Amino acid sequence: MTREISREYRNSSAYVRMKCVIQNPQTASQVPLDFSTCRIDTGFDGGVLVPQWHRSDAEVAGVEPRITNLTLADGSRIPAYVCAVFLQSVDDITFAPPGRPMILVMCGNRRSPLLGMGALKYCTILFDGPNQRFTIRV
Amino acid sequence: MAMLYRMPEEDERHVLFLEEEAARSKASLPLSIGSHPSMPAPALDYEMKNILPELEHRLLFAFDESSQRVTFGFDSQPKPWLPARVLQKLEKMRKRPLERKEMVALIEDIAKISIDFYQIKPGKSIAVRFDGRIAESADDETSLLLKIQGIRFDQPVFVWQAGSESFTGWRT
Repeated sequence: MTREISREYRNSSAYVRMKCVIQNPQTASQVPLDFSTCRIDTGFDGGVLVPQWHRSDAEVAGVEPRITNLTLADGSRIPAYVCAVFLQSVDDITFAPPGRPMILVMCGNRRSPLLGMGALKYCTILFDGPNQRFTIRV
Repeated sequence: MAMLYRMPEEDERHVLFLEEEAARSKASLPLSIGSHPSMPAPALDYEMKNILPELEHRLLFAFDESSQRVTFGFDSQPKPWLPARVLQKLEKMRKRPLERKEMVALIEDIAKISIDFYQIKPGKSIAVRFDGRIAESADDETSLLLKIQGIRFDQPVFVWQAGSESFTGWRT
């Protein structure tokens, strides 16, 4: 069954609501994360980028985020923390439990999270520039 | 319990021959073995038959019997050699947090050394310990993170993708 949602742009950008869960496979403990305004960024190849303070959420689930290098849009590199999360829903479209695995990047203190290609690979997205709308199909 | 030793037949014949030879000749010089063409060669030393299995057992000292592997004197697997500047940074990191640039450079250096040492194919995702050893590997980033999710290693690890400048981000 194909599910589809259509939304209007806001400030010339596409924003969606997104839910994901950090799961510890060793203990089965999990911490849900709910982001009401998640900006779609097709240039970012990770799953979702959130502020660094979400490291504590991962630690609550007993998951230790791993350090790595992240490339910024200007080509420079900075250290960032990453762990795996399961994408549970994008707006009204939900995925079967436990969800779709993707990378959660914890870096900086930008309030609005970014939804990258790692999450968008599970959807078909149509950007309708002239009408300032976008459509997500699963 | 006392054990009686029975001399082998060939040895018995050899002793008899020596006795006859000594009786026939006036000289009391002992004959050396094999010096006379009619003197039979002695049989294999009976003691050696008992010693050989023991020797064979001793010769297997190079095998670790528990794992059936040959050991070459290493207590652990060989690990990559880290240059002095990397070791200095690691020592510095124990005392205080590193700056962003230093951390990025340190991760890049260790990842490069480790990938060269273990000959990791480009595209593979790896979790590397700060001493250069590889803790885990997978075909892609998400699989690797799922593999090591919730596992506590004895040393901090970082994740890396072989053949790439970084693990994730705005990569071209």
